[in-house]
Amino acid sequence: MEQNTNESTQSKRIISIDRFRGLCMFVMVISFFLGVFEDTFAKWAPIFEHGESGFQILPGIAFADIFAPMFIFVIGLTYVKSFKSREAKYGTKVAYFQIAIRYLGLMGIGALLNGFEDGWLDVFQGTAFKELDKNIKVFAVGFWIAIALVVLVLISRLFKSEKFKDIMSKTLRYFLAFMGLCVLYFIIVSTGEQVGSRFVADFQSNRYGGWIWDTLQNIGLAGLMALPFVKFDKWGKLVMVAITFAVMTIFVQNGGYQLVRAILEGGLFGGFSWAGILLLGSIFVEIKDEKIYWVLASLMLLISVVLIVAFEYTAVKRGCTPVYATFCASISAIVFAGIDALNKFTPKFALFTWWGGSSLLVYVVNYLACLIIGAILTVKEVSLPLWAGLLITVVGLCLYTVMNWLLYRKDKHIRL
Amino acid sequence: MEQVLTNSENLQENNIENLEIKKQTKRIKSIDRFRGFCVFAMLVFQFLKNFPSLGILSRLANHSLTEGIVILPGMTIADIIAPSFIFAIGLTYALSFNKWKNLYGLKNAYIHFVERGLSLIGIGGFLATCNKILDSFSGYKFNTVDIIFIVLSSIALAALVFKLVCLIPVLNNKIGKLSTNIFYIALSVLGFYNLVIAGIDFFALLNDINTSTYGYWVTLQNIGMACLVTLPLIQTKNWLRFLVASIIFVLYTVFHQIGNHQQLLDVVVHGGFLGGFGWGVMLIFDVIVADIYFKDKSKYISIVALFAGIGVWSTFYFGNINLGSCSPAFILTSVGLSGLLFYLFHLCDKLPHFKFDPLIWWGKNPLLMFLVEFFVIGLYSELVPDSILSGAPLWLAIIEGVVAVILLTLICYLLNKSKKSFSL
Repeated sequence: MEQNTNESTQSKRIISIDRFRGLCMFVMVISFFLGVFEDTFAKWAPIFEHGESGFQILPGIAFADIFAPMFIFVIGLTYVKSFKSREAKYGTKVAYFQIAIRYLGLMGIGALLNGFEDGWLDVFQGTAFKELDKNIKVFAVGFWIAIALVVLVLISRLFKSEKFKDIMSKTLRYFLAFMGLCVLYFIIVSTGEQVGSRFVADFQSNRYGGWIWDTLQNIGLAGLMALPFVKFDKWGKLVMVAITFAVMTIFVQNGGYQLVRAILEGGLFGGFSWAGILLLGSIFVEIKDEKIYWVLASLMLLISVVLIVAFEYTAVKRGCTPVYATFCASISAIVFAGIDALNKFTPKFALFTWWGGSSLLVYVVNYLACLIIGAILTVKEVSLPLWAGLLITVVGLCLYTVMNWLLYRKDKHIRL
Repeated sequence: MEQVLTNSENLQENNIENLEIKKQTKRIKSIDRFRGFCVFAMLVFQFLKNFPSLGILSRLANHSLTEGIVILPGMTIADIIAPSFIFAIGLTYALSFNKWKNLYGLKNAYIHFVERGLSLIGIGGFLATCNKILDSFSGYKFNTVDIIFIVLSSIALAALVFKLVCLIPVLNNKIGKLSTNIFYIALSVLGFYNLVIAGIDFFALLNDINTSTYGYWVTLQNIGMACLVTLPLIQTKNWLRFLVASIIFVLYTVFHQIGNHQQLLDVVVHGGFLGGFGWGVMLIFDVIVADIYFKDKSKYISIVALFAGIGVWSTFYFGNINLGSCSPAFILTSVGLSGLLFYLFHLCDKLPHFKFDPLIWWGKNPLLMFLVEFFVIGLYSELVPDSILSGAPLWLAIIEGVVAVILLTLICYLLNKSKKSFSL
């Protein structure tokens, strides 16, 4: 992990992208809290629940379902720019390598968090370590190695030696990427098992345990799958996305959905659609100031809505079906245009700008905090009153705001 | 009916205006084709509906969800034609108003357009009266309202006959002008009276949905009503049009969605009197979109796609698209789909032009063709035996269809060739 303290960075950052990212993070953090205190906020459940139990904005799409794709869309907004700046500094091969490491690292962080959640939290609650699935064991052990490496990275900051700092930083990054490779291997195995179980009646392979897949793995996979197209121009990317979505739609609408939905967010199959959203984000930022922006956004909205409403195509977050992806990308583009229109409005209390600065840090900290709070509530078997749930949520939001504000003020952005 | 000869010289006061008119004339070709397509679809497909042996062709004009061709939830392909015609009006409404304003002044332009809206309703009332008269041969008994309609229609018809007779050069021109005025006044009074009766129908239905209505409300009344609703906003900025249209739309939606109001609106054709406000909102949106079309094509395509997208999306909340009650989803979807459909015609402008351009001929005289359809095709459909219509074999149906298309197109061609267009 590196801290970016380049003085010119702040001026180069597009404020609307930071704001949009911050908005997504803000909503995501609130939904985490509401999820942790689900008994307390039971009445508001439709707002933060996904799928059919959430508040439906279209058949199969809940209100809470649009924020994850929005976040991936935001990543797409800076995806090409990030690649190009690395390419300019280190050359094309290194840029590809660094971006691959970055997204593998994201997958690794996601897997390690799962290692903590599905491994150590179970162990704390009485499950023996040896009873854990093999893949969980890998990430449970990996979690503490990563923590140790983070501590070493922080310690290295106290030393003057740049070499030491660099070695520790790279070690952490490559370790996270290695964990990412592991989770990628496991998801391929798991997908193979899912496919096999559909062809052979008594096929029940479970080589390493069930699938380990969550938001960060998903983002990481999307980033990896989008990488081969990063140097395509906007039309090339658009054609690739259109072809991919068309093929996936045919697949999903003809029985493939049962396979796609087997793993959270579609697993390997869903990766195609998530990568499509990311690439669409990179296209939209490229045409931000062109007239074609609104044409593309509105036509995508029209096509997806007609397919969902009139032709009853499957639009579901779990599986990330292509029509869902198209709909969410168009909504994201419209929201982004709205936020971008407010670029001249720069209040001193720039809540979403601050929040958009270090999203990965907020995500990881919040994930762990919510896990711990949730575990305590489960062990103690208590359900908090509404005021307490609200109080903790508000305090949490205030703390994150202060943290983000401090990082923003010092022009520090935690990223891989 | 006033005969308007194309006379661009009157408008060419200076070079700038000259250029503007040239630009507009160029644009009107695609609008004419689009309008022509709408009229062709309304008339010809309506005729082909009589021949089940034609298969899918006979289903094109069918509004029934079970027999028509369903393209969206609650919407058949036939349902898009009337809104498209309204869209075509929206494309030229502001241009036409400005032309009148430049020629005769603002006050006269408003008076003329009120008269035009009422006259359209009046012609609709006249056609409905003709239907009542036809029904009387099957035992229908006239009530007081029918008799007033018959009297007003007779006055308008007599004035029209006088006007046509006065076209003969040797006759007194003053009588011709007088008969023209009487014709317009009679039509406007008929239109106004039609509005009153439609209003009474609406309140009667509001009181008791099972009550019988006078039934003087068909497509032309809706078009006239939409023109009247839009008129106060025709000289305003787009943001104000949008604001007012949105307010009316919200109020209309609230009414439409409460209780049994959708069924209530469904009783009378296209929503009846109150539905006319829905059509009015549609026309206001069309005028806004048309304004954007003339300024920025990219923005235009984005906005119509958004209208269509939001319209289809709204079916998830407001229920199916419903032409019968002019449902909120129908209004939004129609604006969008009509706009997209028109854009195809706009794209055709870039193709090489040929002298054989039948849609342009059709688009020049929509009102006249509407009347021709009613009196010629309509009477034909009513009078000939079933064995020649619904019972006609495929070969006969094809012959009848082709003959109808050729004859109607010939009328349009001759009118176009003589450079005469008929409008109110």
